Order: sequence, then structure tokens, then C-alpha cells
Amino acid sequence: MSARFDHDDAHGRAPGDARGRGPGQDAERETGQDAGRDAGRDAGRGSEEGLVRAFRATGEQFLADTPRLVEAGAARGRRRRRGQLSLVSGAAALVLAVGALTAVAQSDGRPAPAVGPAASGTAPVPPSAGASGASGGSAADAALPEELHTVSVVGRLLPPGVRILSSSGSTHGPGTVPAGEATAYLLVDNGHGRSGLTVSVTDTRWAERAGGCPTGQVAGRECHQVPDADGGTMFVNTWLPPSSGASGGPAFRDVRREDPGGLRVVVHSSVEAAPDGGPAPGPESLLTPEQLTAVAASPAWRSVREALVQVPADTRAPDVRLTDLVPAGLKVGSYSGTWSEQLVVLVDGTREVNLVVQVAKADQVTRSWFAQAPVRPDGSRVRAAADRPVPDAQGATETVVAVLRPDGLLLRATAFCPAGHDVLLTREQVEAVALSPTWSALDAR
Amino acid sequence: MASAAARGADAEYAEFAANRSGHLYRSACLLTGGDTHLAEDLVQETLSRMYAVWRRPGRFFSGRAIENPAGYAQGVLYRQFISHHRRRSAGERPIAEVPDRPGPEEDGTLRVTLLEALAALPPRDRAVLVLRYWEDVSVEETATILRCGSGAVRTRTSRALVRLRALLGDGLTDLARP
Repeated sequence: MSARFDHDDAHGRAPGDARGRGPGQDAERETGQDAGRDAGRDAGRGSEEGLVRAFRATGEQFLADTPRLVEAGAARGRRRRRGQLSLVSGAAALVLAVGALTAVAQSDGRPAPAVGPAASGTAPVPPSAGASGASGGSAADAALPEELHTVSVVGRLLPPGVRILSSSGSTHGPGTVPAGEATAYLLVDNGHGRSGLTVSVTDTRWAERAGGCPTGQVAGRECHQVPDADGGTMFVNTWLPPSSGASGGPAFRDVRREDPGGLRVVVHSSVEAAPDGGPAPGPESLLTPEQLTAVAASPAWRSVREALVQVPADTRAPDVRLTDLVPAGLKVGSYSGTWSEQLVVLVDGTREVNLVVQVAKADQVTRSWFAQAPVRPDGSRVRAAADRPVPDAQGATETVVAVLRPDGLLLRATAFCPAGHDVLLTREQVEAVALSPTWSALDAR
Repeated sequence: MASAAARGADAEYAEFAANRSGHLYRSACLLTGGDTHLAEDLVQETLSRMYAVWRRPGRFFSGRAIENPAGYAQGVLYRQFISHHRRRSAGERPIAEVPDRPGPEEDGTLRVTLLEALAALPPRDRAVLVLRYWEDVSVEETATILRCGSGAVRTRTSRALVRLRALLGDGLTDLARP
């Protein structure tokens, strides 16, 4: 499609809608001049910024049922247009009648005005591109609903100045694979070098028990246990490299927060080697304990935990190996996987892409999401999103192809593309992976 | 049989709507104080108007070309919200004070508190606050969207902030915490 519209990006603002002139961008000026002088003086700049944060945190917790909104909007639009056309037709008939009467009355040979209805406005939305062989369904029916990206939550909580180099993570919401844990892995740069940032969110009611700080001194590890104001506990760990003096500082840090309601958030920062094989950056590339603590303590994780469900741990080996389906020309950098989830890092020279395939028995909600999706000759239904921006991921995109098989198995392939990189896996390639006949070996039982 | 132009317009609408509906919905949820049913209705109505815009040659609407569809949709949503309340005269849910906040162990504390406070404000005050603090647009742009003067926006912002503080009390400090 030629036209590109602004996507729901970090904050989803419309282009040309006076961005950067509100209180969130210029609190100082607005406080004094615009945003209500009296109240502004009381509130002060900090309060203005705090309000912006509060509005964002509140608004961003709502997830839209995008396909339904798009289709319902179109349906209403068609009705509206039919109504307008009826009015136009009625008006046209009136004009013709008046014209005819006038012509009869005038009898001067002038032609009556030509008036007719415009083209029909009831054309269906065309089927979506891709998913070759699929039939029926509209573009909206083929689209994927909006989802909660764990990476997006992390992206919003990153300290200012920290750049995301690459990211991948779990998504949650209707139509996704049920998960008992939300995860995100980011490669970031805080100006002192690259570091890995891993976040895990789970519920202590079903997650494996995690211990506290060790009672005695442990070589290479420093651990502090700190109660927080909300009744939770923060465990702050610093791990030194095995061979002391290798880099003169910690190799990684992690923070674990557990609250009385069962929410557990683990944030882990580790030194990452340079991509060209050069020396690893120093410990200053790690996020500080304070920064990690701020991420772990955010109330935003509560809504993530809401999206989790208890699922049994999967230790089964895959029936089909994702590495056997890698498109030609790409090499497998690394691979891991179980029956229900496989991850492969594909490399092409300096570029790389994470490709994840998840498999699960679809629940009733998921089946209803696919009810209107285009049907393929084998009876499966497909919904997809190509190069969809991951909100708050600093430009990263993802391509997702979700397939609901007639036997009720949901197979979802996701390719994560870092910001500023050409797409390494096209939608057609991701589709080819997701729709490969090889997956027929999977037994839905 | 639909013409190629109509199919193209439908496809462009679908792409626009898919990309913007999430943000429109979140804005509507804030405007309605968390009434997700009304929020969906407002977004559907807004998108239906955008559908009509796309089916018009040159995207002409009300005698002018729509050059910034996202900005246009934003304006439609806010005006829809205000006219909805004007029609029904029942939008305001005046409450003397915000109900007790749930304990910190309960989920969605932040959301419930701010949403309930917003729901207690008059619709136009809500619209002004959401435009200023959620959409992050200027006073002038807020005035354009709501079709009123800049002075009215400043007055409403000031008044709405005072009411918001009165409703939230210490909760505002908590909300403002990074």
C-alpha cells in the first residue's frame, strides 16, 4: 500500500497535532503561561510533568479491540453513506421533478439539469494481502488485535538517554498464546556501551520459589534485601566476574521485587560483548541498582501480571524443529525451544532477527477472534500484522502471522526487527514459516 | 462490483483505522472516565466518519480537503464526546469525593483513581485536561479542536486542575510520582 499513516507509536499522537507544545514537552513555559496560571503556580513544573506521567500511565493500560473497531467503523460508515446517498437520491428526484415542471412551464427548450446518484458506497473491504490461498474476510478481519507488549512496558520505564538496540519479548491479550510469565530481552546502550536487559514478570502463586539473600558471605556476590513502602521486598544483587580484575567491576546486576499480592518482577542487567568481537564494555555500561530498582518497582507491572495465566511448564521436545524451516540465505545464530515455544536468532552478515514460534491449544476467546478471519483451503484461518511498530520500543517493528488450525491448534510466528534496520524477514517469509506443511506433524492433543 | 478507487479507499481506511484506533480508544477511555463501552462507541462513530471521508473524492469533507486524517479524527473524537454529553445531558457524574483508593496490593490503583476523578469533572473540562496532559497539545491547538478561544481553554484548565486536586487530595502526589 502506498499511503502510510502514523502508527500507534510510543504515544500515538497524530502528526501535525501540535506535538511538543503541551505541558509534557515544555512544562516550565506552560506552567507560567498556558496551563492555567493560577493552578500552574500551585502545581509547579514537577506537578505538571507528574500529571503527564499519570495520564500516560493510565491511558496506556487500555487495550483496544482493533479489528472490531475498524470493522464496526467501516460498517457504520457504509450505513452513514447509504443514508447520505438516499438523501442525495431523494433530493435529486426532487430537483428532477422541479426541473421537469419548470421545463414544462418554461417550454423554452433548455435541457433539464443532469443529476444522478454517486457510485455505490457499499463495496466490501478487500481481503488482506498475503496469506496466499486464503479467501473471505476483510482487511480488518485479517488483522491482529492490539496486544500488550512486555517490551513496550520496559521501553516506557527506561531511564532517559538509554537507547534500545534490539528487543524481543512476550505479548499478551486476546489471540495470543497463554503464558504464565511475561518476558522481555533488550540490548541497550546507556552511552557507556552495550548491555543486556532482561525482564521477567510472574506470579509467585505458581512460579518457582525464589530464595532471599544468603545468610553468609558468598564470594562474587553482594546481596541486599530492602523492604519497600508498598509492603513488597526488593532483592538487589551484584555479581562479580569469576576471575577478579577482568574488568574491574560487576559482570551483571539484578533486582527482584516481590509484593504481598504475588507479583514478582526480576530485572537483570549484564555486560554484552561488542558485536565486532572487540573488548566488552566496562561495568559502567550496566544500569545502576537505582535504575533497575525503579523499573522493578513500577506499578505498570500489575497490569502485565493481570494478563498472565497459570500454564504448566513445558519440557517436551519439539515435534518440528524451527531450524529446519529457516529461509534460504539466513544462518542460525542460536536456537532454543520446547514443544510450545521455539526461538531462533537468524543472522545475515551484521544483521540479525529473532524469530519465535509459539504453539498452544486455542481457547474460546482465541477461536472467536479468528471467526471472521480469511480461510485457507486447508480450513485454517490466518491473522497477520506486517512491520507493526512495537509501542515505546524506539522504532522496533514486528511481523506476526497467527494461524488457527481446524484442529484448534494456534500457531503464531513472530519476527522482531530492531529499529533502524532493514527488514531481514519479509512477511512472506514469516508466512512461509507459519504455514509450512511441516507443522502438520504437530499433534493438537 | 466495487470500483478500483473504492477498493483503494477501503484499503486505505482499513490501514488508517488499524493504526489509529488504539490511540483513539485510549483517549476515549480517559475522556469517559473509564467507560469502555462508551469509549468504543465514540471510536466507532469517529471511524465511521473517517470511512466517509475516505470514500469522498479528494477526501473533501465540509468543503475542505482533509490533509491530516489523524488530526482530523482526533478532533472528531473530542467533539463527539462533548456533543454526546450535550445531547444526553447525563454525562457528568457529580460526586462529592473520590471513593477510597484500593490498597497498594490491589491492581490498577493509579487507573482507578485518576479515572474516577476525571469522571467527576464536566465533559469540557475533561476534554481540556485529556488534550493537554494526554495528547500533550498546546493551548491554541486545544482551542482549535474544541472550537473555542484560547482564553477559555486556560480558564478551563485552571478550574479543572483545581477540581482535580480537590478530588484527589494526596492522591495527586502519588499519581505524580515517577
